[in-house]
Amino acid sequence: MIWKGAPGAGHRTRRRLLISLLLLLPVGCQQLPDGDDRTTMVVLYPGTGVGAFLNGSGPLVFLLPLVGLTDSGTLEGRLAQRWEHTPDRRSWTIWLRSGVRWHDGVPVTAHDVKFTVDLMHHPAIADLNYIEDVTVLDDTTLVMRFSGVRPFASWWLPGAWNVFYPKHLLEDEDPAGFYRWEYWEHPVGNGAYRWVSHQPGTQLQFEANPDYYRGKPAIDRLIIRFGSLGFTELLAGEVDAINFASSNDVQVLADDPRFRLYREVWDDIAALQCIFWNLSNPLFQDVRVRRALTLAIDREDLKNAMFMWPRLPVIDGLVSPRQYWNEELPPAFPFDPSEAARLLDEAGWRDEDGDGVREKDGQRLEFTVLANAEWEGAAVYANQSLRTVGVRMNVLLLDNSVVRERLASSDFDAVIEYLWAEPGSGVHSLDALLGEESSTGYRNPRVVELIDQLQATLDFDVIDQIYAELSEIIRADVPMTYLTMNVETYVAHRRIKGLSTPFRANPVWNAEHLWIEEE
Amino acid sequence: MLKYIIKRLLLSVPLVLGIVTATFFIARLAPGDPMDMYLEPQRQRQVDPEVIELMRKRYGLDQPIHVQYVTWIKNVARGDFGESFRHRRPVRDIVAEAVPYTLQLTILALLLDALFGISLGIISAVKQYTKLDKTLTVGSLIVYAIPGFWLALMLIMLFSVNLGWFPTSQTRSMNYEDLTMIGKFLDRLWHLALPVFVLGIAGAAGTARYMRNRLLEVLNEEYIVAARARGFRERTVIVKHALRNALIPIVTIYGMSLPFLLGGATIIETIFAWPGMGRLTVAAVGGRDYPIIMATTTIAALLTVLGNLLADVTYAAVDPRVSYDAPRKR
Repeated sequence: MIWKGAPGAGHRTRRRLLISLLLLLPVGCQQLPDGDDRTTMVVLYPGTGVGAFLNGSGPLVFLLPLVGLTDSGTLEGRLAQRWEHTPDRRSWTIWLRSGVRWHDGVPVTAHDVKFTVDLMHHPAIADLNYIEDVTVLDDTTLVMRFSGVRPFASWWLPGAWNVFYPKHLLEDEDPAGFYRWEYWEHPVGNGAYRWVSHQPGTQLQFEANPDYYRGKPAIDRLIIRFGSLGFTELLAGEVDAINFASSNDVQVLADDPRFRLYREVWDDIAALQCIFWNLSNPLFQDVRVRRALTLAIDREDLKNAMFMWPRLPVIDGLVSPRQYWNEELPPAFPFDPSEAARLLDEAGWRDEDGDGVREKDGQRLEFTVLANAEWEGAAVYANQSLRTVGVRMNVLLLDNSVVRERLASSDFDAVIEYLWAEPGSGVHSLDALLGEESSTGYRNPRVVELIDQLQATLDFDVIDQIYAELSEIIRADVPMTYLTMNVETYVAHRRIKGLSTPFRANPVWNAEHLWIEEE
Repeated sequence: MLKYIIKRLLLSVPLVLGIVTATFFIARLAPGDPMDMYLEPQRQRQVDPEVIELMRKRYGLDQPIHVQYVTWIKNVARGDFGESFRHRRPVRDIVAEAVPYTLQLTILALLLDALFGISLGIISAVKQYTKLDKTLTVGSLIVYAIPGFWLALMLIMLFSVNLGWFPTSQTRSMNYEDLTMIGKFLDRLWHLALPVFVLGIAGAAGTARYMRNRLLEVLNEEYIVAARARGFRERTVIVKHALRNALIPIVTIYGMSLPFLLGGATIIETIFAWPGMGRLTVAAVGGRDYPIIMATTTIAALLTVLGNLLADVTYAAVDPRVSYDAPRKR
């Protein structure tokens, strides 16, 4: 009907409608007021959706782990009130905090913990397999036994980042469909924040839990947004913080006074980012060459170049978690390009033709290092450093998966990857990279023995001795060049208070400890 | 015509099968392992190799590649695209969530493309060799040559970061749920503005060039000269006679936009964090999420074939000179 009438009336009506829409558009082009005075923190989470969030550390927003860390790094109970362990750390008796309730009001009990561990052991989920079993002693007491020997995990009480699900809501569900449960549409938790809503691929919204056992968090509303270009959203004021900031984000935001960088340094001290030399390659078979390559790179300056936390240690060797926190660190080789040049000369590598690259028996000291995009900066820095001592290191940037695949199959000259400094955890583990059949070509029978010993004990006096001896051997053999620790970076606006390096860096995990000071 | 359509549809079966087969093997033979997602240091813990092997078995990745292929084909024939490795949810559900977002983006981009492309093409042709024509020609060539990702980033820096007029990304404001219906509609338009502009403007530049050339060709046809000779007004000659004929190939171009409509725009969706099919595909390729890669490729292949068919059928429908029926025997 609207389009009918006198000639031209339709045109006029359409024109009016168009003009009205155009006039209304600026209304939409404003940050619309919230309509309430709730404080809100918006955190950008890399990825495309809730799947990645829930598969990672995301559930810690609304589900409690057994323990957490204070801002000074000591363990403090969350769901657990207190705990004791046997001398071998394989069996832990845990007393749960009384008075903690699920968001639907039902009390959290030891039966929920046992239910979750049993659920995770289902073949369709296959998680938490290092927890052998859980025995419920009463509603608030349980015994948890561990099967694996993991020095780093055990230092923090295994399960510090694991959450537990409500048995009363889920016990009748089919474990095979775990990730398809309706529960994930609106999960009921027991943590500081309650699940409010989820827009697929876009955002998750949480609200502060007024019944939280530590009291209602200061920030009323927490929004997790999924996206990729974190720095633009932060610069535009659309988000308050970025979780797992990329090196690109860090470079753009590091010098902006509005923002603060935080580094999470606790569990990840096991992840040592190194250049691994392929010892099957004749170029790297002389230890003097490997030592020279290490001496030629200024690892202290590299931290500045990569905006890393200045207090991250530079080490050449391995370090147990107790040694790390007691600052009993293996020393690092100094930055000494003159000594590097001398060692290369001594090993017979000299620049005879004056082209800036050393040669020996007609072969140039030239090779390619594989790296993923996140470590491009480190690769380029090392390239420049090595150039000054007559070594040509070409950088080949590849996808993460390809780098790992080529590392695992020994298909590289040199590669920048991380070493997970404990045995038995895949392509990056100590045994995979330095053990009996290491992909780096490194072979040392004593190292193999020590790794075996490491897998048989959780006595930290013994563990420390093993790591000390491993460090001595590694310093002598130099199978890799340590660059830095592979720690995560978080960026937050300075109005977000309560974050700190190294234990309270993650704004999502630590949302309950944060507050906002408007400027 | 019906016979022709059936014949084309039957011919398209081996074509689609060939595309998805090639994609299946290329994706699986490419370096990288989908189970690498368990090795990210940021997971805060290392997953034991046994768990990774269990997951590999669960998703059938321990099977020989030809067995995986046969299993996949059988499942797809039943309409089951499997479960995403990363999201651990049925691919069907994930795709169903992404499609509406992509449609919002691509339909508006196509409308913008058509509105500006056709209009500017007509103006350019009618005003041939004038300053306006030259300006539009140079302008459209420049816009056409600008890479979409660069334009998107520049617009974000200018209109979002510096001026704050538009959001940098996402689909809705924080307070979306509190808005009225009109408010929600405007909020969505506000979020669509930049990605639609970037997508639509590049298409419009191409369409304008095509439209100009086509209209100029038609304007030189004898029947246009005849129409002018009969004393029709120039406006009538252009709108009623020339434009209708010049639009015929344009219609077919838009018919072939079907894959774009549902396939989305990978780079633009990624830059603007628009949760559509394009962003889903990019994330799936990066994460070696084979079930999603295969689902999006299959959909794209089907739509490409259907789009081509639609274009041919539309061409016949709008141009009476074209017929796919067998000529009558005399």
